[in-house]
This record gives sequence, structure tokens and C-alpha cells, in this order.
Amino acid sequence: MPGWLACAALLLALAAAPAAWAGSPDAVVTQGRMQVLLPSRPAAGYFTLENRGDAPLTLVGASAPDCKSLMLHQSKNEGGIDRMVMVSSLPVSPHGTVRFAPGGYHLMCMQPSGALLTRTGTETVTLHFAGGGSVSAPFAIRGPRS
Amino acid sequence: MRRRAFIGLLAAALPLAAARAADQVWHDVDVTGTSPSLDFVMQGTPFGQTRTQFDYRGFVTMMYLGYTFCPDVCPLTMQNVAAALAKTGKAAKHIRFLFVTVDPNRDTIPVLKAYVAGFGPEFVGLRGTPDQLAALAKRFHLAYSVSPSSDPAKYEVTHSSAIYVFDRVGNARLLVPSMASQKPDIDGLAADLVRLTTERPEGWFGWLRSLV
Amino acid sequence: MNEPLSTAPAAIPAKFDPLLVMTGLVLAVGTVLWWGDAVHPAEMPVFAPWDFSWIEYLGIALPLLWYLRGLTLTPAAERPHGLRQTAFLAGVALIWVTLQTHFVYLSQHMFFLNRLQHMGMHHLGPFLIALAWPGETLARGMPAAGLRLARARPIGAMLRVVQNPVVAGLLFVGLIWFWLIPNVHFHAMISPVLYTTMNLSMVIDGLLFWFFILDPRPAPPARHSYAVRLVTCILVIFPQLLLGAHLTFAMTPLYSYYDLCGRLFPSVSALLDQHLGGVIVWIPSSMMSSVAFMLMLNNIRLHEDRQNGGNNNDDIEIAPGVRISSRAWTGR
Repeated sequence: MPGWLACAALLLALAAAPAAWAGSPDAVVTQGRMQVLLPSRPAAGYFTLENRGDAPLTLVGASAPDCKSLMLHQSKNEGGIDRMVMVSSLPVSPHGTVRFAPGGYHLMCMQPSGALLTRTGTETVTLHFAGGGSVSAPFAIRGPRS
Repeated sequence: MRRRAFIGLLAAALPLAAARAADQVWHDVDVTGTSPSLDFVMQGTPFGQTRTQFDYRGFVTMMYLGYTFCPDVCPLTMQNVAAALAKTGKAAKHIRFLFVTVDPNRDTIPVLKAYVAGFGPEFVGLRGTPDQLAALAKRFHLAYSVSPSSDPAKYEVTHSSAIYVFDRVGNARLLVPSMASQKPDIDGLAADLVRLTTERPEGWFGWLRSLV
Repeated sequence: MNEPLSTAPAAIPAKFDPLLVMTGLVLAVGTVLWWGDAVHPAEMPVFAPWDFSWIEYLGIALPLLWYLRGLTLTPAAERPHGLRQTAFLAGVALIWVTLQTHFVYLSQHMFFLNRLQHMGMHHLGPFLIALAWPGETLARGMPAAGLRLARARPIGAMLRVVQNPVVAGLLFVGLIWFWLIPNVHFHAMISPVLYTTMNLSMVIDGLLFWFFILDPRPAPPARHSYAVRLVTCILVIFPQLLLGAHLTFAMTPLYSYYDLCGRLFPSVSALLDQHLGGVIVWIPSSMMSSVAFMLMLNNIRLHEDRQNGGNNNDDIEIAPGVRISSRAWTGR
């Protein structure tokens, strides 16, 4: 099997299969993506988190090698004013799903660097849960218009 | 006989009138004649040149408050506006979107330029002094607040989420509810923008009103 | 400032008309406020105008000047009671706060604060001013031309119409209702011209109404009898109650303006904001009528005291030479 084919197969597998790599909790991260606007400005991370276990999970943080810090944030539009608030923890009920999507929950990546600045490829993001477990997944890196 | 003809005429006119009335409905909130005209002095992208409302005569102009440390809502708003612009076809070249930063301390012209460039050629960044910004927000009853902090994670900024739309002579015409909501009316905005670009100028009265 | 000012024209050559000098000062302060608002809006203090308006500024500053001047021109013994002076100053201050300070910004971004603003400019502020019954003092401090204008026949005729009990009552509640029609409210909040019109109409109507109601005199000098005024004052409660209850119990937000231009407090939802506003229309506004009612009863009592030969304080002559203290039976 030629090398490129293996590569393509791997990529396909990565894209198609729920990208849960490691981690103790029975959680699956899909549709991970990082939206990078400017090197000097925070980037936003979006994903869907599915709790496939029978126990409730509590998301308490996130990290990525190319973000100085990666925080859980929520955009709120309350009465016509936009604001952002930090989220310290977010429960995911058993067999429940939490969506981090534009205009709501998002990861805020302070001081993006490395691969993020190329606006191509993927970034490995790790989500941390209460109790010490974590899940890592590849997030596709995108620019403002994608 | 004459009476019947009259009724016939009326019957024919009714659907026409109804169609006309349906035509008159805007998708966004109509503020024609009540909201004040566009009026500002600020530095604009790309070079920091002084910009006023007169630079946007001839354009259908949208105005929105935001800031570049906003990684989620402001990009989402502008992505949705860009999607609406893409649906306006050729009209897009007569449309401009003014992104007015409420955080001029951190948002310098080069940063603004790079930020708005990501969304399309119709997007312009504007940076005013605190006084210029306050005057603009006051004129249009918009709200914003900045609570600075040395830690960028704690630096808090809030701003009104609406977009004002001005016609080609600078009169305020529409108020667009948040384009970062769950169901932004992208098609409606596109239709409204096209309608404004194809509108015939209002003549001397509209011009007079734009001066007020 | 008290006596010297009244004697000043004699001491200083006539060209230094103190009223002219003071009016010039008022104009100068106005110019500074106007300039500050236009050029340095971000640096203006909170008590300075949020949106400077010459009409509103002069409408507040000139009567204040005339009142203060009128006080200084009145012999100490004839001056209105200290409480009445305080009521006038408090009323004027309240109208200043609700029309020409940064409170306006807050009230443009929360419905319930907008209702509080209207309470201040339509109910409480004009109420306090009318309670002070400042006409005589104002007339003394006003320039002669202004006084002639105020006493001109057309003005009198107009006042007769708008202070007809039915018209006054209808105007009083009608204006509250009118500016709260959702579509009207939206455009009034968004248009600077309509906004000023709304606020001025509320202040002027408030003054007309409370001056009509709180006139301490009986019917011949006053336009209408105590009874008619008591009834008017009570009847206006009910439409306000209805409107307040309508807003308080409405289950859909009616005023989209605040959602479009932004509400200041994230913890107050559109509906809660509206409910709070409804409570303000409902309760304090009715309370104002009750307070007015009691004050009028007191006016009636004082008037009857006087008619019965009392010295206007607390005793009544029930028969020639026989006086009893009304304190004994009124409990005051």
C-alpha cells in the first residue's frame, strides 16, 4: 500500500470516526475545530461532546499545546447586549450531548501560536473533567471564512 | 353599468395594492424617518485615514459595535453578514459594513485592518477616540462598556448586538437584530440590502433629512 | 445674597441689571454644558447632561433663577415656608436628574428605569413644584416681559381649556398611555426629536395637572372647586392601575426597542423588566393621587379654618369670642 494511500486512509478514519483517543471517561468529541482570526487575538474552539457513559461528567477545563491558556467561555446575548462569561464547569448528563458552537459555549484560546497561526492542519485539544479524567481530540484549524 | 365597472376596477386594484403592500414589508426593523442619520468622525482602515459619513455616501452602510478580542460573537455576526452579502450578488459592491471598535485602547488600525480583512472587502474597521465613540453610541442609543484589566482573560467588554443600516444618502433605515442569534435572518438581510441599493434616491427631502 | 441683591440697583448704576447678569451666567453655563456634551461626551460627569438640550436646560435653569431671585426680593416675613422652598428645589432637581443627567442613558436602556424617569418627570417632580405653589415668588423674580407673557390672554384661555377637569384628567393618563403604545414607544425612544417631545410633553402636562389639583385656594380664585379636583385626582388612578396591571401581567415582551438597543442589566430579562415597569406605573402612580388627596383635604381644612375666623393655624371661632383649638378634633 503506497504511503499516501495509508495517509489518506488514516485521515479519512480520523475525520469519519468519532475522534476519541485516550482518556478515562466514556466521552466522545466530534466536530472539533479552532477558528483563528489573528495571531495577536484569541482564537475560538468549537466541538460536540457526547457522554456515552452511565455516569454524569463535569467538564472543568481544556488545554492545547499551541494555546497559552484555553478557557471555557460562553457568549451571552441578554436583552440585546453581547457579553462573554467564563464557565468554570459544565455538567454533561449520562448519554447527553453538549455543543460548543458559535454564539454560545466556546473555548477561548489565549495567545495562539505554532500550528494555529498557519490556519491549516489540526490542533490536539484535551478536555479535562472533574475527577481527573481527560479526552483528547484533533481540532481542524480554520480561518475566519471557512 | 358604470357602477359595475367601478367595482371591477376596484377588484382588480385590490390584489395589486395587496402585492404592493407585501412588497413594502422589510425583513428588519424599519426606523426610517425616526432614527438620526449617519454622522461620525473616526480613523478608518486600512491606513488610519480620517473617515466621516461623507465617505460612505452612495453606499448602503451597515454599522456595528464590536472589538477584536471577541473570538466568537463578532466573527459570527460578520460571517453571517458576509453570507448575506454573498447573496446580494452585484449589489455587494455598493454596500459597506462599518465595524466600530468599542475597545480603541487595544484595537489599533493595523489590528483592525487584519481583523476585518478576514471577512471580505466590504468590511471596514473604524477606531475613534473615547469622545468620538461616545458621541456615536449616544446618537444611536447604543450601549457598550469596557472594564480594562491587565489580564486579557479578565478584560471585560460588552456591546449592543444590533446593526444599523443606512441608505445611500446616509439616512438610517433599518435596525437589524443580532446576527449572532440562534436563527439569524440572513436571507432577509440580503433582500433588504438589495432593496436599499436599488432604491431610487428620495430627492431633496431625503437629502435635507440626512443633514439633520 | 439676600438683602444686598434687592438693594443693588440703587447702589450700582442701572446698567448692571442683576437679572441680566444672572441670565448671562445661565447662558454661559449652558454654553459650557453644550460644548462639553458635543466635544467631550466621554468625560462629562454623571450630573451633567447626557444629551444636552437648550430647551430643557433653559426650561429648568431660568425658572430656578427667577425663583431664587424672587425669594431674595421677598421680605423675609412673607417668604414661603422653608418646606415649600425645599419642595420647589427638590422638584426642579428631580426634573433635572430625569431630563439632563447621565440617568437618561440608564433610562434609555432599561424599561423599568424609563418608567422611573417618567415617574420623576410627570408625577413626582411637577407634584413637588406645584406643592411649593411658587407662582408669586416666580412672578417677583421674572423679568417684566416674561410676566406679561405668562399673564397674556391667549395663555390664560389655553390654560382654561387644558385645566378643565375632564381635559386635564384625560391628558394626564392619555399621555402615559399614548407614549406606551408599543409602536409609538419604539419610535419615540429612537428619534431624538420625538424623545424630546415625549419628555417635554410629560413635564408640561405634569405641571399643568398638579397645579390644577394642588391649588390651595378655594374655587373662586382657583378654577375649579375642591370637590371637582378631588374627584379628578382619584379618577386618574384607575386608568393608570389598568395600564400598570396590563404591563405587570403581560406574558409577552411589548417593547422591542430595549432588546434592539440593549438592556444594561443582564440579570433582568425582557419580561421581568416589563413587569418591574408595570409595578412602577401601577403602585407609585396611584400613591401620588392618594398623597394629593390628603394634601387637598388639608387645604380644605385650612380654608375652612380661615372661613371660621381661625388664624390659619389651629383654632376656630365657633361663636363670637369663643375659640376652640381645631387640634382637639382633627388630631393634628
